[in-house]
Amino acid sequence: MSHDDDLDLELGRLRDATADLLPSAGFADRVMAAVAEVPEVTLIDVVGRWGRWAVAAAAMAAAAASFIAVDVEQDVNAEVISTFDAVEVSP
Amino acid sequence: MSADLQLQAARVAKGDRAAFRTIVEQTQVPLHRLAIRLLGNPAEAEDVLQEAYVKAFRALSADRFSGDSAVQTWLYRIVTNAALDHMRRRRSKEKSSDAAPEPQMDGAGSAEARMALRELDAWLQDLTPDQRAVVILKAVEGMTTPEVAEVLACSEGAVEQRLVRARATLREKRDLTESQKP
Repeated sequence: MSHDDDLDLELGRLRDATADLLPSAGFADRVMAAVAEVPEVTLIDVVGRWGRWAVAAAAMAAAAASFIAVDVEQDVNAEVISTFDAVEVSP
Repeated sequence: MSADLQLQAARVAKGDRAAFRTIVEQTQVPLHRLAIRLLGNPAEAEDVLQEAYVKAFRALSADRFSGDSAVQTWLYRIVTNAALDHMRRRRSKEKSSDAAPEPQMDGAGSAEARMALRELDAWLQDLTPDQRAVVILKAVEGMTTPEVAEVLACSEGAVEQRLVRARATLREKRDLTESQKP
């Protein structure tokens, strides 16, 4: 028998021996009493949570829009410069 | 039970607090066993389990349970994390005071079970909290490696690594104990 088998046997024995440990009587009542003290989630909490997401999404959209606007402006400038260079004035 | 728990969780999310009692009643025995084996102390296990249930309730009622895992697995994760936090806090307190707390053995269960719990706790004492959690979840609770990885939110490799180290520590401890026997 390997060392690991030995360890597993020992842990198995302790698992079986501790199987009948139960929570004390009235444990569920105590949990429910603690739960009763948790304030209810109100509409304001929900709106507040979604509001934070909305603000974050709007900020990201604004950042993306600024980036695109700058990029487009650079393209337009390049286009204007190349067009200007290409103008031929006939005598 | 899994489908029923999922249903009850959905009810709690809609504001039905009574549905949470059903969840507690259906899961308290296995979760208490997990907490008591992780902590080795019935009184601390009940406190930690209660704290974990309150956390679960807050998450459910705020609709923060994604439903990616089964309710039971999710609860296992909350209880294990709460127990790990408690163990780490206890360790740092023990380091500063140099005295380990005497386990309170007034919980329900036979005298043999309480004795076995004391034995299990003493045997696993030299493991880090993370190693102890892996040994309890895998070798005692009988979970598979992917299940343990899901509960501990780590990779399967990390689970195996912790298990190998834990086994090495346990073997060393046992060999030392046997060599000291007359």
